[in-house]
Amino acid sequence: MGDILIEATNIKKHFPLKRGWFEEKRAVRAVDGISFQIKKGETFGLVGESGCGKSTTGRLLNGLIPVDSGEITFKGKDLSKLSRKEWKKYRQKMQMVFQDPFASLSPRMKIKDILKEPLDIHFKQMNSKEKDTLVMNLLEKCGISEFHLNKYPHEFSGGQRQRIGIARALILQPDLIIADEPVSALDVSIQSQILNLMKDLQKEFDLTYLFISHDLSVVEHISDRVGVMYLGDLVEVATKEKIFTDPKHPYTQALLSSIPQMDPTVKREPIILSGEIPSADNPPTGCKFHTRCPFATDECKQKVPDKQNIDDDQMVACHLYKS
Amino acid sequence: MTELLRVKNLRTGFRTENGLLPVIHGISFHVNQGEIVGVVGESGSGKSVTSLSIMRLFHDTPGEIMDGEVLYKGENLFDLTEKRMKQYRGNEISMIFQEPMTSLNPVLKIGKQMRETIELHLNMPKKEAHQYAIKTLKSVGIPRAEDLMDEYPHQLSGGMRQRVIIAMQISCNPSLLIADEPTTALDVTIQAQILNLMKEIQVKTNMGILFITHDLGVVAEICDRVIVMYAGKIVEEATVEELFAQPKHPYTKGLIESVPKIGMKSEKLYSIPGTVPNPTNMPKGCKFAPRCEHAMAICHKKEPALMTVNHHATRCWLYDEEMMKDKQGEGMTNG
Repeated sequence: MGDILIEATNIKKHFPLKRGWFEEKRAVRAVDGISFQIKKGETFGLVGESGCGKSTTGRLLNGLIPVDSGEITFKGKDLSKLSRKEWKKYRQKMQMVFQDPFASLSPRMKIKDILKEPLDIHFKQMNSKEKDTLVMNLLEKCGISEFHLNKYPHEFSGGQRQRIGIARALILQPDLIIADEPVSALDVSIQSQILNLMKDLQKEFDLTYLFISHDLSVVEHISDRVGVMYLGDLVEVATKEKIFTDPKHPYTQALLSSIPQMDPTVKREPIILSGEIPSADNPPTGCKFHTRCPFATDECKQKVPDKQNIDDDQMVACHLYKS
Repeated sequence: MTELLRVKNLRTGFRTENGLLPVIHGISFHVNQGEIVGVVGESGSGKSVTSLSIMRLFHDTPGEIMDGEVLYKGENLFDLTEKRMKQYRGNEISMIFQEPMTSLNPVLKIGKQMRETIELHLNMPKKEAHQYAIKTLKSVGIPRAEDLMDEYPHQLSGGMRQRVIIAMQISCNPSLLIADEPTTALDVTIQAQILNLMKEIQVKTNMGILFITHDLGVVAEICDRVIVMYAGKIVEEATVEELFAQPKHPYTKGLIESVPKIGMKSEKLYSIPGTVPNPTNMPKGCKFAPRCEHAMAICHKKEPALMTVNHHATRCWLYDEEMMKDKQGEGMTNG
C-alpha cells in the first residue's frame, strides 16, 4: 500500500437533456468535479443515494464513458491522452463487476466461453489448453467447480452467477476491479459469501478495489477508505474508521444515523432529513446539501464550500469546518 | 389485546405443468390490534405469497390456496364470495407493495386516484372526497398536498410516491395493514422518514401491521414480534427483543450473523453455506438441514415440529427435549 494506482482530478460528466428550440440548455450534472485517489492494494468505498453519481464515476474511471473535463491517471499515465490501441491495454488492467448477475452474463454462452472470450482478445499468444487451465483454476478459486464449465448462465443461482462475474473480471489479471453494487441483488446469506470471496481474492491476487454501494454496512466491512457522494459532489473522504466513528459532513452524519440497527433495545434518534433529494439537472445553489441540512446558513445557500483537509486522511466539503 | 388476524395452517401452491406445487407448507400465526408483526426471510421463502394468500390476490396468476383458514376478526376470509371480499380489501385490510410506481395508475392524476378509493369505499360525494384526500395527504407529511392532487405519479420521487400510497391505504381507516417490503426500493434517508411515518400512524390509529421484509435492521427498528420463514415454513417466532438477544434456530442465527454490522471488526463474515432449496426438489426432513452445521441424523429424516417455550417458537430438533435427552443418554452409554 502507499503507491497511488488511480487518481481522478476534478472530473466532470454532464448528460445533456433534450429540450425544445428556445428553452435553455440543461444537463444532468451526474459527476460535478470530483477528485480522489485510490492507493495500490486498498479498497476504496464509494457511497451515496440513488442518483448521486457513484455509478457514473465508476464508468468514467474505466473509460466506458468519456469524461467532459478533468484528468484520470492510472499508474501515472493520463488516460484521456491514450489512443484506442493503448486503451485496450489499460482496460485489461481494470475490470468491472456489475450489480445484476442476470443481465451481465450473455445467456447464449457457456460459462467456459464467457471466461475464455476475454483471453481470446487480450492473450492471443496463449494456446487453447493453457486457456482452459487458467479458466478452470480461476473458477475453482471463485467457488465454481469444473463440473459446471459447460453450463449456461440460467442454470445458476444469483450468487453463483456473481461468482462467475467476478471470475470473468479476474481472468485478465487486472490491477483494479471496479465493483458496482456487486452484492445488492443478493440475499444476505449469499451476500456474505460473496464479500468473503472478494476479500480472499484481493489478498491472493493483490487487487485494488473501487467498491460502489448504497449499503453503508457493507462498505464499512470491506473498505479501507470511503468517499461519500451527494448530487455529483464528493462531500467527504476519509479512512473507514474516521467516516464511521467521527463523520464530519452533516450528510454523512445523517446517512449513518439512518441505517436501521439490528438491536431492538437501542432506541436511537436518527437525524431525519427533511425533504427529498433534489434533481441533478437543477441542483441547489451554493452547497448542494443546504436544502436538507439542519445546520444550513445563508453562506451555504450562496457559496460552494471548499474542500478542506481536516487531516492527512480526512477531506470534507462543508462551511462548518473552515479553518 | 384483541386478535385481528389468525392464519391457520395455510397451504398455497402454484399450478405447474406437473400439477400443483406447494410453496407454503402449512403456516399459522396471528396479528393483534396495535401490533407490528414482521415476517422475514430470503427470496423464495414464501413471505410475499403469504400476504397475497391472506388478501386472496391470485387473479390471473398460477397461485392457488390449497388449504387452511384466514380468520379476520373471527370470520374466515376464504369462505367469502369475491364480492364480499372486495368490501374487506381497502376498508378492513389494506396492502402496500414494494414498488410504489406499480401500484399507481400512470395516466391518472394523484387526486383522481385518491378520490376514486375514497368515493368507492367510504361512499363520500366528490367534493367531500376531494377535501378528505387533501387532509389524508397532509397527514402523511406531504407539504404541498393541494398541488399534488393535480400531478401525475411520474412527477413524484420514489419517497413521495410511497407516501401517496400510504395515504391512499390509510384513507379508509383499515384495521390491518399488510406492508410488503414497503421501504426496500427507497434510499436510507427516505427509508428512515417512511418507517417513522408508519410508526406514527400505527400509534395514532392503533391498527395492526403485518410487515414483510428481508432486512433484519428494519425488523429490529419497527416490529414488536417477528416470524422467520424458510422454504415456505415458519422456523422461528418470538418477540423482537427475544429474537435478536437469543435467536434459537440455526437459520435465524446465521441470518443475523451474515449481516455486516458497523463497528464490527472482523475480517470474515459468517456465511450460511449453500443456497435456498428449489421448491420442486425439497429435502426430506428439516428443509434447512443440508445447510445447517448442527444437522444430526434425525434432521435429514424427519421434519421437526414448531415447539413453543415461553412464547418463543422454534422448528428445530436441537430444542426438542426428548431428543436431547436421548442424545445425552447415547453419549453416556458410548462414553
